[in-house]
Amino acid sequence: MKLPVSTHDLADRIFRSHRYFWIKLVRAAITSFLILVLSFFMIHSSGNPAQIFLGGEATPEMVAAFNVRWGLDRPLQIQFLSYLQQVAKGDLGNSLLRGEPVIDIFFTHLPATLSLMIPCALISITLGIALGFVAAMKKQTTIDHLMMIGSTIGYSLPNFFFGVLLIFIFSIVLGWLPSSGNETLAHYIMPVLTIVTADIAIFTRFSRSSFIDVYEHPYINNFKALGVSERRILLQEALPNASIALLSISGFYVGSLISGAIVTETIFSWPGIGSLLVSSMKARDFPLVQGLTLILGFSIVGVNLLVDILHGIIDPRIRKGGK
Amino acid sequence: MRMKRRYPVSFAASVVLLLLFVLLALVPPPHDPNAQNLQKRFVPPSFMEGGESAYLLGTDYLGRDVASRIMRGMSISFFIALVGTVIGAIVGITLGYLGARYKGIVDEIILMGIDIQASLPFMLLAIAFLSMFDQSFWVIVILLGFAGWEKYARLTRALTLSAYQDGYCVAIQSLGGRPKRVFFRHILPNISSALIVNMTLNFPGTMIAESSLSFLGLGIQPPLISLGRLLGEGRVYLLTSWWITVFPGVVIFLSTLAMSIIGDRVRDYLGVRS
Repeated sequence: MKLPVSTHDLADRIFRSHRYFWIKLVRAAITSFLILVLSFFMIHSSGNPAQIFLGGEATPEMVAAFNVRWGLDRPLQIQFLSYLQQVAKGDLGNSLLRGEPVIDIFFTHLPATLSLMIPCALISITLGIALGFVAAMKKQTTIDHLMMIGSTIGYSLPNFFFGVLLIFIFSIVLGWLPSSGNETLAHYIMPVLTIVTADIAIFTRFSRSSFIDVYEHPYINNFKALGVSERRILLQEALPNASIALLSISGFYVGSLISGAIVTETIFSWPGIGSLLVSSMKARDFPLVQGLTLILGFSIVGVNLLVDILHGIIDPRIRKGGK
Repeated sequence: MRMKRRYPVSFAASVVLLLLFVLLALVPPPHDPNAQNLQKRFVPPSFMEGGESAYLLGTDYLGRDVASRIMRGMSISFFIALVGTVIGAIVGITLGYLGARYKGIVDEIILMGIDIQASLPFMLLAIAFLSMFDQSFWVIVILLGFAGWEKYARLTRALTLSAYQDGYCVAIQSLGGRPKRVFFRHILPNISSALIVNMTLNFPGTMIAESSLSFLGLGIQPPLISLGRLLGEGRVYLLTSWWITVFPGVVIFLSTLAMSIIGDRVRDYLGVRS
């Protein structure tokens, strides 16, 4: 990575002046490649897919036909190359159980997941930042302590237990809310509540410490001394600074949303990607598991890259600091 | 000092509760946790109408004692979370140290590994991993260990790099201290408080991760019992026999909560910034 300083080669200068972006790009490319390799081996190391899928009673002829059908009789590196070719064409193979293309199954399940995740993300971020701001302003008071205890509880409450508890209380004991499916608005209440409880706790904690950091800077005191209104300090100084810190966890947050979707959708029989992933895993439908892992993995890499680039553009300290 | 009075009661309560749980996990359960008794299915907890004094927390759909299953589940879940945390710490501290010591390309590779690990959600990795290997006990323990290594690596790397600039490190190095000795005898004890805090704060997360997997039926497999699995299995009977599900859930929640409160307190006590 260390290039001679004396070279005035154009490529060198482009690399050095954009070092941060290049590093992020290379990391994204390597991560994508690792995800490809991982997903490729998912089918191959899970024992013999033919045996698993056809069951113990399959004759050797049936197994051989299956292997030819799915190209499993060829050398591994050839299989990997043809897998890469297929992926590049957007062909993720067919589900073993449903027979349909994985990519089609993904897109039929995507709207349900997005319609759950987008409101959850919006609620968690806005409420989390607002609560974090209040806690930071009331630092070391009873309100702050209560909020921090609340956030510890929210963070420690596993979403699968909370979801089941909500079903028990609101569907079984009280009979107010439906416990599975996504047909009406009432179906959204419990899944959203399950996801946002933990996420609000995380955002509250994080934004509290970001706000405290910002407000500890002397320049904020300087503004106060100059008579700038609290509101203006918040909107023009504190919020932009704190949001840079928040931006750095948004990549992580997308990942945690996906983990949350996997658990929460399963609890509430929500017909989205998360419950699909769990059910196809249990049914040993490996092409589907493989395809979904690949798409989700790539989406996460994409979001992270986007966040890193944004981060670098907004905050020169990061861009120039190198790491 | 300023943090002294945070969680005054809750900290003591957490310690007592956790000690009680550990004790319950260690003593042999009153009944064989896997012994079925089909004549005693769905017996309610002893404090409820129709309950029997032999089954404090009732029985499940195969007539197994819920309390005994929770006790066995606690010992397995705590053990996995503990070993998983330790594996994560060892791998992370080693890699963080290597990155800080060798810098250059080694450091770049380790940083990249940290980035990659941090960006991929645990659940997705776990599903990919578990579809490749059997869902056996040690596979899950190792999986959980790897889920957390990146935080220790990041922490160790940053703290070691800054320790190298400190007077004591420069002094030992100029006295001829070998890098390994400098790290293990001098730097590690100095940065251990931050690492201990990270371990206590990581423990509940590891426990929740294992429980979630087992809840989905992808983690610990029978005849082994995990708290998450108890919850996942009992969920079907929520309508008639809530105790099969709710008690294991309460135990998971109280354990993670107690551990988080203790972790926060330890952090404040040791003066480590989160």
